[in-house]
Amino acid sequence: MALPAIEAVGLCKRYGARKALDGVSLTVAEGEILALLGPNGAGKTTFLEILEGLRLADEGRARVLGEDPATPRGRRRVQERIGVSLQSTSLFDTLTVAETLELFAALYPRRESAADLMARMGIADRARVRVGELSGGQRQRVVLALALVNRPDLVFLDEPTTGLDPVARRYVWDSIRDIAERGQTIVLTTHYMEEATRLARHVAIMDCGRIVAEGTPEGIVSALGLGVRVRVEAPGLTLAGEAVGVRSAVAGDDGWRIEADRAEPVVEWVFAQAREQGVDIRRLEVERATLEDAFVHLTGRDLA
Amino acid sequence: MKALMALVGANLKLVVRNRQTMVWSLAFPLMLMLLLGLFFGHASGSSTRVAVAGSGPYRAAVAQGLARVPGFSVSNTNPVKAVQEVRSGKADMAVVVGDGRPARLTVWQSGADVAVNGQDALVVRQVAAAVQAALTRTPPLFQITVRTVAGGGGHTYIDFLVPGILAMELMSNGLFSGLALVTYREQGILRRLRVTPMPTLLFLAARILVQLVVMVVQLALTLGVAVALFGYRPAGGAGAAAVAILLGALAFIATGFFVAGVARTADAASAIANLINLPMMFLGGVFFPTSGFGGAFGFLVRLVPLGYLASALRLTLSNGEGFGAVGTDLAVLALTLLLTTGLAARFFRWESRPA
Ligand SMILES: Nc1ncnc2c1ncn2[C@@H]1O[C@H](COP(=O)(O)OP(=O)(O)O)[C@@H](O)[C@H]1O
Ligand SMILES: [Mg+2]
Repeated sequence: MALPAIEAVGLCKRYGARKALDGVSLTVAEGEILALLGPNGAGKTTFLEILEGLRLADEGRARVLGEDPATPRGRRRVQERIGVSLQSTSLFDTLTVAETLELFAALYPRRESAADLMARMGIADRARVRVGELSGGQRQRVVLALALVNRPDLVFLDEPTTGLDPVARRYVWDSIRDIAERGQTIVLTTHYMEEATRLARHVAIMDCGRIVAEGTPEGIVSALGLGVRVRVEAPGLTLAGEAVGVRSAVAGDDGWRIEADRAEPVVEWVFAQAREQGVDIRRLEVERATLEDAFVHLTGRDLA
Repeated sequence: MKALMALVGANLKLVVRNRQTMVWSLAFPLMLMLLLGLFFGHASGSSTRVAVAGSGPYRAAVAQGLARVPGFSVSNTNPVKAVQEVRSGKADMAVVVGDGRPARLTVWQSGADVAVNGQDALVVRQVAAAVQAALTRTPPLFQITVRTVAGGGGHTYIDFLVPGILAMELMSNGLFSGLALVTYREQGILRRLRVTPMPTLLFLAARILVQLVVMVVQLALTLGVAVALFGYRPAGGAGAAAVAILLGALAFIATGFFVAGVARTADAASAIANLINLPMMFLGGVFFPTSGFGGAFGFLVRLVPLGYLASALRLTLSNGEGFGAVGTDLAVLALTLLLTTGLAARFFRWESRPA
């Protein structure tokens, strides 16, 4: 088996009395996309920046591409092979897009052509425009292009779509998939549940400096046994008797809201009752628990 | 090497495209010198305009005599207008010749030009004496030759002013060179550079190199203006001057980087730089000599590095001295450089402190 791209063990980081990271262990395999999902202040940025060699952990150790980013030599080697988009990256406003890419390319031993990158990110027509004059979405594509300028093996994207409008966000998602298809490992942070489920098969939920759940999006939800929610719109329906695995059944104005382990017994039960009572079912909806539900369940708080 | 070249290139573009720094580092010192030179220095490249008026047999002879003095341009008018021209600045001096014997010769000068007035008045006296000698056919009792002594100190105000302005430009430019660093730090650009494998020092080295280039352009422009408009003639000492300039420039850039390290925002950095800049400018003897002061003020004056740079430049550029004359100045500048570099390194930060 290939070496993991990232291996973090028991990372802790304190800022004064505040614990930003409280024992984070995580392994990221080569070639996969990991989404770190968590609210503001969860410690996502701190975690990434320790791996990038920007901050030092108080405790624990990390290996990134087989190197230790906490040592000067390891840090340099790591930084040669990673691509980074920081959470809030400003660029030199008075340099053009092409000048910016060429400047950063010159800082690496291995480099990608600026023209190719601009074409890939759909900003070739902006090459001679100063960065300060770009729209938010275009700017973010420059930031992404910058993260690829050294043909990295591993790409860190800290909140790559925060603050973007839905169109720009979709564009960035396409770019991220494009990066993944080239076999580059990606670690991204987000507080959008949708972003994590759409882009990543490997999700880690972070809260208060800890990883509270990890796995595939479906795996996390089913491991928590959050079950399903069935909504029935059928005025006049009463539910008598019982079905297997029902946790709660609440009557509303024109129907029922039922929480249960599995959908099938509940659906059968509802059908049987409706037929018996001669009541029409106008609508029946089965909702699986989402990552968002998982997060609320795990932390007692809303995401975002 | 490729990385350094790219950084230097990018930083040059950043500096040139920043209109504010361009104005402050290039236009402002030139303007200042023009103003000071015109007010106090009497542009020796431009001529002294003399309005001659009056009546009587000697008027024409005096006008002719004055017209032959190098640097004097003479116009003829009537006494009332001549004085008005001085008042309005159209003429630098009015000479009104009366009739009778002895003929009364009145020289009118504007009050603004104390340093030069004495010289001009002396010239008029000499011309009058020459006219008298010629007309009365008395052989001259004295023949006066005026010579300048190399190394004898600044001869005109411009000789004093130009090296001072050069030193001041180096200081201001250096002190404010950290502002961009603070801005880049506040915007997180320094952190972005920090996650590249580029060594820390390379970016600073590029920044310093670019700053030096700007300074050289600035000095060349200033010297050009001084030579073209004020007739300033560098007297030599180029080698020692270059060393003084390099030491001074680096010391002031280091001070600017130190300021960038202790200031939280660009505005704060600007305020601190000004707080250093203004007193140094006055204590450093840029506009008037401060070397003669004693007591507490004299002590303060001797603490100001700018003074040593100005002194070194004056001794070399204006007086033509070499390394021998500026040893102390260079030593003080080198010491300042060492100290400020230490401070800059100690306080340098890649990220802004969280509020
Ligand atoms: N440089 C710092 N100094 C002090 N506290 C910090 C610093 N960086 C982050 N923190 C704190 O650490 C916690 C985690 O922050 P961060 O890693 O930025 O979380 P996230 O990226 O998930 O929003 C937050 O409470 C934040 O306020
Ligand atoms: Mg963050």
